Amino acid sequence: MGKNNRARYGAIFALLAVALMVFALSGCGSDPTQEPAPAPTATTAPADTGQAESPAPAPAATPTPAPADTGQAESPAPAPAATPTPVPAGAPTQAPSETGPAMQESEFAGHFDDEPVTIVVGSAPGGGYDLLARTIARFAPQHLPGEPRRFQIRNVSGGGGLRAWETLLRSDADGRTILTLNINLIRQVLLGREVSGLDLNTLPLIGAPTRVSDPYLICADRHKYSSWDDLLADGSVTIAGGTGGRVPMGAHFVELVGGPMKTIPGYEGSTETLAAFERGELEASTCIQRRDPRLLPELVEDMRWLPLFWWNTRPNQEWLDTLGAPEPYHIYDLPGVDFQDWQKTAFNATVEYNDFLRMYVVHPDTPPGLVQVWRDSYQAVIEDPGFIEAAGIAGYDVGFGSPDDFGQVIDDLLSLPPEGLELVLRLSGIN
Amino acid sequence: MLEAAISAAQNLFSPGPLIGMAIVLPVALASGLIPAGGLPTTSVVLSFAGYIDPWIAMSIVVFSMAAGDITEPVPAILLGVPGARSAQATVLDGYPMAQRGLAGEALGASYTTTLVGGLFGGAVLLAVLPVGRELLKLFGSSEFFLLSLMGILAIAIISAGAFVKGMLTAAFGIAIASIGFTNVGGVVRADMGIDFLWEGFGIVPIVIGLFAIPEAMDLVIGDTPVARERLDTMMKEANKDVLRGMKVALSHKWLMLRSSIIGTFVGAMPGVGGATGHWIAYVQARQTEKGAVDTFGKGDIRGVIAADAANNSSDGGVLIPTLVFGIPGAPGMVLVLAILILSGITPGPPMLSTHLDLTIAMVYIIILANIIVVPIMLLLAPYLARVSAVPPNILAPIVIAVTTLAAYQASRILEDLLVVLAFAVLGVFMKRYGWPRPPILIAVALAPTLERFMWITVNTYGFGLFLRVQSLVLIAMMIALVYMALRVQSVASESAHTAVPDRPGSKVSEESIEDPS
Repeated sequence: MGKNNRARYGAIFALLAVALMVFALSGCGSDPTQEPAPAPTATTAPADTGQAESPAPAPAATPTPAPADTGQAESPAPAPAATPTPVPAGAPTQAPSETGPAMQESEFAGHFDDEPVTIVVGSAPGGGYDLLARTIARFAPQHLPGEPRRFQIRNVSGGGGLRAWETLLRSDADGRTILTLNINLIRQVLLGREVSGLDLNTLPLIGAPTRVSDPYLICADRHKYSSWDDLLADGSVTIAGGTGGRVPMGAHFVELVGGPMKTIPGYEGSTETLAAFERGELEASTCIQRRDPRLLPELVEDMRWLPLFWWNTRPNQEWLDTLGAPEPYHIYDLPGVDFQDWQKTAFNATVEYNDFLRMYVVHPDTPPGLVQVWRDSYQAVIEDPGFIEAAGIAGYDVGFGSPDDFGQVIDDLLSLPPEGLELVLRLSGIN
Repeated sequence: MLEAAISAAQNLFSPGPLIGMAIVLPVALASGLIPAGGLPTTSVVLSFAGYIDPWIAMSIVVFSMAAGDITEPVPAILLGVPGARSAQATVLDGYPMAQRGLAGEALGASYTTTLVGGLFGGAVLLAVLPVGRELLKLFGSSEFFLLSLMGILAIAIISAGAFVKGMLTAAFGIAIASIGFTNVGGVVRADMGIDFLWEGFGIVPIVIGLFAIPEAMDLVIGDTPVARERLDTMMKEANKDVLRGMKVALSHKWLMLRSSIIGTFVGAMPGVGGATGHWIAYVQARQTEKGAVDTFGKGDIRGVIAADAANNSSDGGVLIPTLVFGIPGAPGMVLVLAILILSGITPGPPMLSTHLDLTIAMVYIIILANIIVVPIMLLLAPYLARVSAVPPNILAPIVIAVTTLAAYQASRILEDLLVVLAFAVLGVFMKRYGWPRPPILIAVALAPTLERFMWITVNTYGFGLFLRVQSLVLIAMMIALVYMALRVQSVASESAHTAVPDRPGSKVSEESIEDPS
């Protein structure tokens, strides 16, 4: 065989190797990461289930921006002042089963025994979605009928959550696969993009884990400002926005209506934000009772925080006393900032919608009885004291967001005028 | 501190962590040896975090990452395939050395310098832990931006002599990196209606397409093994070559030290991480070492020494912001933080108080990984060097198959194989017609960081950037580097430098970045 021929054959062989590899892999599924079967009694339930009084370790530092950065904080929830809790509307998703939870549990007692339950996560291991999914996987088995012992996490990143959604659609509609839906996908749908099989009105939601009526408080650097009037005079106070469209909503809202805030996108997570604030790079930040005294005690001890304004629920008095004067304004009462009614409506809808950032769904064709089993079990997981403690360490305040609540949120969003929906998207960090 | 150091040693040298590290050792070695690949050891451990002792989990993860980084120069030197996260600059001189039959010497130098860099990074980490927080507060987003920019400027430096081509390919790399969901702004950019592009291009398929496949094809078409000189000598004297490489490395102790300092310092900058440090170290070596401007990129062992010292010393650096602030120092650190959290441990300041022993243990693990893995790699080096003598029709299909599998494994997205194919075609043409490929790699690796910190810097500092001493020092360094690069460029233009083809069927035979025309 001549040298040229050998070269050609070699090249052809190499190309064939590639082609063969493509062909072989085209039939491969991804290798799911197995979650080891936890013992149902493995949880360490704290005596107190209330998050505010919980002695859980500091939740601040997370590898991804915890919701804390968008303004979530601690304390029990008094009735929301600015954003009333929506009245449950007509079921937005699949009709629940006619049977009660107990009957369904017995009906599906052995359903989860044969095959592992899979949680599909539309992002790489280690991020916020992934962390919360793994924490749910630790506690879910003891709340599902039959207490299945095999749970697995399947990370299907790509396409901003689209691949994960498609993975769910390709799975059997047997309730053994659930998906933590990427909020980017919902945003793209709100932007008018077609996503196959994804209809916000009929989303097969089983619940969301982070629906908490938290007090959101914005503070400025007392080394630079002494009152809200100072900020008004300055006209542009820098505050961190996150990556991927995450922003401190209230501050961004004030900015969008012409108030003296300037959101700087690009900071990744609350730890990076606080570090930037500490070195004087940023002039304002969310200030959170549950996080700050543990992560940056000097900020609190040195009275660096100047409370400015809050939304959702009022911060508790103990925290405000710690921070010192002045008394923060409610966002709508801020002097020098005029909010129109439609803007307030859009803001309220966004705050509600933000509670469903990490919602969980099942296959759209899942039998209603199984959907209801999942909803009941999921709610039990989210309200499990052990789960609450573990999620707290990861930086998440958790609370069950029901499908009915989400239905109301979507109704509110879709009933907004075009400029309202645009404001919602901008408040969500889409510029 | 002493008490924590003793407690760390006691916990680390207990059966659980030791067994964990022993189990993961072969996996980590294999992981680094796979070109542009890596096995998902950390992801697997992540699944068990919360169920197993955090000491065991952290031992496995940190040991695995450190060991993987140590082995990454092997494919860079032997096959011309840069690592996805490190050992990228190593390819510029390591591979030409292998082509000249000096793979053993390159590996010997690489592992000697890797050991020095790793130990240096670990020692620095241990020393600055108590004051790391205060030190890092001296640097803000403007400095992170400038350091990223300096990494991009490395393109200009190493492209001296082919400046325009270098800049054009870098611009192409930045354009590629811009595709997909934007971290800043929250919109999908330039997806052309293709859903797959929402996530942008991963760096692993780009590396494999651009480097691994064209190099493998080139071997087959040229019908030569990687080593085209000293074939007989190399097989007989592989041990001597490795020893010679070690001696040469040790004779450049100041270069090793300088590069280690750069690697550790840049690695400690949150978000900038190890992807930048080894490029800056390589550039400083090229500009400061005698005669390096003419010989770097053509198989100069000093290029390997500079790149790998910085490469491995950054392991200690990236742990500083990860542990003291809870900010990931590099992409892989996200998983370390996640494992800590799932184990019930809060990263950040508590790591210097409540969990100081665990923090110190991580330093021990980095040092331990170097002490264990480097001698193993040095023992294996003579055998590994012989890979460069394997006939192309055997080596190339294996490389293509393994790297293609690695590309798929990295994301498990089938479309990434098409990305490999597209970049392979591009890579073949770039190689054939003398267009430098490393600028694309640098640009793709650094563009997201650069863009993020540029947004922050422009919005927070504005022109105030020029009033910060730290920023001014970095700006002055960049101006000096650009000036030197332009001077080299003008000299190159005057001498009308041309490359001499030495491989059949290939205009540019070496992974030199210089313009052959």
